[in-house]
Amino acid sequence: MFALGWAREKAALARAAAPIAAVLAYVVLAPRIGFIPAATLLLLPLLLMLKTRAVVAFPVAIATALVTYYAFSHGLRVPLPRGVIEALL
Amino acid sequence: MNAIETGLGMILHWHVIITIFLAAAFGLVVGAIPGLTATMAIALLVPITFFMDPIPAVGAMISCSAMAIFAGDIPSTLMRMPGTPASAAYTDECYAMTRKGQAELALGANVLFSALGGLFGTLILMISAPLLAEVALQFSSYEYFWLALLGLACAIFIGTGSPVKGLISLFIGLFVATIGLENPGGIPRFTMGSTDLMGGVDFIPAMIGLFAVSEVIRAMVSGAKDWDVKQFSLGNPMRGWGTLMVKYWPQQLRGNITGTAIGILPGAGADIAAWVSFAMSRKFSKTPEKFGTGHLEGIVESTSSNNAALAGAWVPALVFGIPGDSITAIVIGVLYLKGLNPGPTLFLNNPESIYAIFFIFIAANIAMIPLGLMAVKAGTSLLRVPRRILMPIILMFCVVGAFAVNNSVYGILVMLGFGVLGFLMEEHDVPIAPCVLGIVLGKMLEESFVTSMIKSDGNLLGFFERPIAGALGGVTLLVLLMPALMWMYRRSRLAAA
Repeated sequence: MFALGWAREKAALARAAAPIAAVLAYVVLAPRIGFIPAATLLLLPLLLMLKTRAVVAFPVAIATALVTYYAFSHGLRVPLPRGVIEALL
Repeated sequence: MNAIETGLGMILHWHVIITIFLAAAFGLVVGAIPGLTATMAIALLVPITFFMDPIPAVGAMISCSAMAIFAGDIPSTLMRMPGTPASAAYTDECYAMTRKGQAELALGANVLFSALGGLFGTLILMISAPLLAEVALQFSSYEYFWLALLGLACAIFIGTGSPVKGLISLFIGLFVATIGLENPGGIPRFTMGSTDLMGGVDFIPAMIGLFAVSEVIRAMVSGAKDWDVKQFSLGNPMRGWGTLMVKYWPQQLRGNITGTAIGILPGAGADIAAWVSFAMSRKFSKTPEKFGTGHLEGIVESTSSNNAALAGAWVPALVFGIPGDSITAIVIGVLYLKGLNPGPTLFLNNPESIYAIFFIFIAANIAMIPLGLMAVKAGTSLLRVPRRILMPIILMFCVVGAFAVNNSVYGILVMLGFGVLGFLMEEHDVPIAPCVLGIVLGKMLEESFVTSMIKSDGNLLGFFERPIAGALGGVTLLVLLMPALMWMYRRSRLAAA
């Protein structure tokens, strides 16, 4: 009846749960460790899960987190959570 | 000072023009990537528009959505994958032309007739919105109640799927609208003791969730594999434009009118307009047998239609605050945030902003021709952006955007909740548009109902006493009773036979 054939496949179910878990993890972690590490941790597992090679995934995750932090917190003045790393910048 | 001149002056600033241009480029890229929709582009744009003045913010949304709807035709034609749902109706037809070696002809027609369709829709918007606003100034709570109800009824019946699923979606939306303290009684509903929920569900994070996060989850499930991109060498897409306009003017005009009309109807937007126009084109065609073999006729009609719908949707949005499609639903949220509250008084108090919006529409649709041709030239290289890298990045933008609305974690949680909701709804073929309309119109429906009941002292007949209210009420009841009447008619026909 329902078009949920993919739900029977464990790997697909795990991939569906991954972005949800990643956002929840970000919500918990960001106020504690700051935006840049938390965003990197949000991106990395998802990138790796979609079979991006680690050589690509690490720099992409870190660069995206850095650029977003600068654009939103310095450019648009959104008070993104700050931690140890942000204090250094 | 002349309001038209002021309006023109408002958009002739370099920062407005650059904003509109950048938003157009963003729209072209998002529209050209299958799985990323025009509505998603708008939802992702909203957090950034917070930091802009009202006119560039609205301009960015207009140009972004127009370009995205056109750009959806590019992967349709080259790869048989609609870039946005609005191109789905004629994807097979476009691809059939590519296989015949006529890709540049199909793409050229898409650029030309998209831009002309957008201009036609804009023309109707410019003529009808001020006239309607004049009438709407006389409207009281009775008329607004019926308009809201009529909008909700249309949203269910003018979908492509089943009315039952449309109703489910609508009720989810209406339920969301009841959450919080902002109801006529001022009673906290469904807040479960949370102070955040007292203020109601934040609209923008909810939209980011429904239209962007849900797509990320879907892409994750399917594994976001890379596309098999073939390189094409395209000829000159502008060749034969003059002949096309002469040969296909009836199709073009019919597509424009149908598209604008469907755009104006609440809840139905560019994607439904394209389906209806494609079907209509085949029905009225002198050579229906050519459809499906790479025939331009249907492409012209539906590509004229979906861009016209985009502008048409702004008519009820600006005049009544009732969204014509999901994109204008989000736009209305932004207009309120910017202090440009939609409604007839906007035309009285702020006519220069209205003219500025009209000018942006014209400019965006004219700019579509050069920008669209550039996007066609870029063609398949737009599709080389690997989805498996893009999707996680989009999710992170969603998180930052939902946070930026109120600078609170609550926005992120609302976004996530609605992301999962949107994903599950689409997996079960429940359309999202009625839900969005329910969220937007729920409060208007309740407030106008309660105000009317107080005014008429609890007399339900008060809803029919004013002439316009009575007529609107009659039409609404007719739309609601339509399925039952049709059923009775068919039964009596069967009994007679």
